Amino acid sequence: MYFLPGFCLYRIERQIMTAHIPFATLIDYQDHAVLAPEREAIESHLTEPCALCQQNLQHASELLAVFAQPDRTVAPPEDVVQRAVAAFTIRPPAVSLSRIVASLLFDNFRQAPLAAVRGVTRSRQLLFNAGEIDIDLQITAERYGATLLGQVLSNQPLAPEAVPIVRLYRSGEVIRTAASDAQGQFAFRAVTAGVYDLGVMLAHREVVLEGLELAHD
Amino acid sequence: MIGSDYAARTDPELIAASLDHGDRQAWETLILRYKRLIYSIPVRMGFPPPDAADVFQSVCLLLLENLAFLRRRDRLGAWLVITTRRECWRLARERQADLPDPEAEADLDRDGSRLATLEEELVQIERQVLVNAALDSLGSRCRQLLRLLFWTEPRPSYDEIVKLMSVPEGSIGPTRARCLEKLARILQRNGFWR
Repeated sequence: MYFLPGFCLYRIERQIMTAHIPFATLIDYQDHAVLAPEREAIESHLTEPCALCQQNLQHASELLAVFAQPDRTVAPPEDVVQRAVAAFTIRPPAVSLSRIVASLLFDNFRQAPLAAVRGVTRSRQLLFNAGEIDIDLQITAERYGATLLGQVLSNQPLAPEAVPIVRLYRSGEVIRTAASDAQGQFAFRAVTAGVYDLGVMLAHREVVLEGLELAHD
Repeated sequence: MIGSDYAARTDPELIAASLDHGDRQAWETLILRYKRLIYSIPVRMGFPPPDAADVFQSVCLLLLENLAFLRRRDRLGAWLVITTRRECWRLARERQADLPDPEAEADLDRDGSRLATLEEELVQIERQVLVNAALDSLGSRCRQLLRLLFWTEPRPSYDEIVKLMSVPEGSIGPTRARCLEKLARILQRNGFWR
């Protein structure tokens, strides 16, 4: 409870007689921090009735209810926030982007005898190209779905605010979206089995990797 | 710290600036305003930090993609709560089970009271986020004073506040009244009282 210097009764009464009750006074009233004569003056004004002050009293009560609880909110790590902020630079525009299908340059499941490869690793390594960018993908079957790790590699260094957004499509519908980090790396985890397209959104076009088969372990 | 000019703007104003002028700072202000709301939901639902970060990222990108199509720009907080919860359920479904927290989807479906508790908590978090954002858009002295007066445990004494803020004893009362009026105006504008 706070009894504030300079917060004299005359002033409060005068305010209440001549205008609406200040919000701070309503907070004190709700917080049981006003003396009896002040309380009577406030109640007299409220029951005039003054609809505005009654509404403000309700607002004061709701605000105090928030302050009465410890702050339960949790702040995300700063790098996570900055990635979300950076995503704005390559905002998916309302107009459709031109789509370019990337070419497959390397697939470790095709380069080596399948039995031998699958015998030693569950990860599939793929490399795609579309003009000045390469996209490196690693697909791993996990218990609760596939993990897809990737990196967008460019001939030109990517500006920090121009890191690509990556979308995962199933049957033409976007089902997941991720922002890559400053190194162009991105990840989708626990993806259910199925055939997907991956779209890498650059400034004016979308590079698409078609027909990626993802499986559970 | 974002500019106080931006922090004082309403959600519809920030959304319009983001869309119409490609104003990156307006977008950043939205993210900073709601970052705690978006991240707190997966955390309270029991997801570990890496998954909570994935949910956060997905929700921010979904917001970006849907910014132009929001039907109620003045109800962004509510939209974010619904969207974030959807993303959490989606992730929980994909994981099928083994959520580390007992407040997993299956438990919630079976236990209505627990669901109600979580609902209440999410509403509370949304309101705390709005108050936090309003405090952040006040000047630093107002912010510090109101936090000390109302949102610090244990609540410091009047003398302690005078010392902590290095202000004359008689200035606290009038400053407090001014700051509360400002806070109320911001909360009104941002839809805290509906």
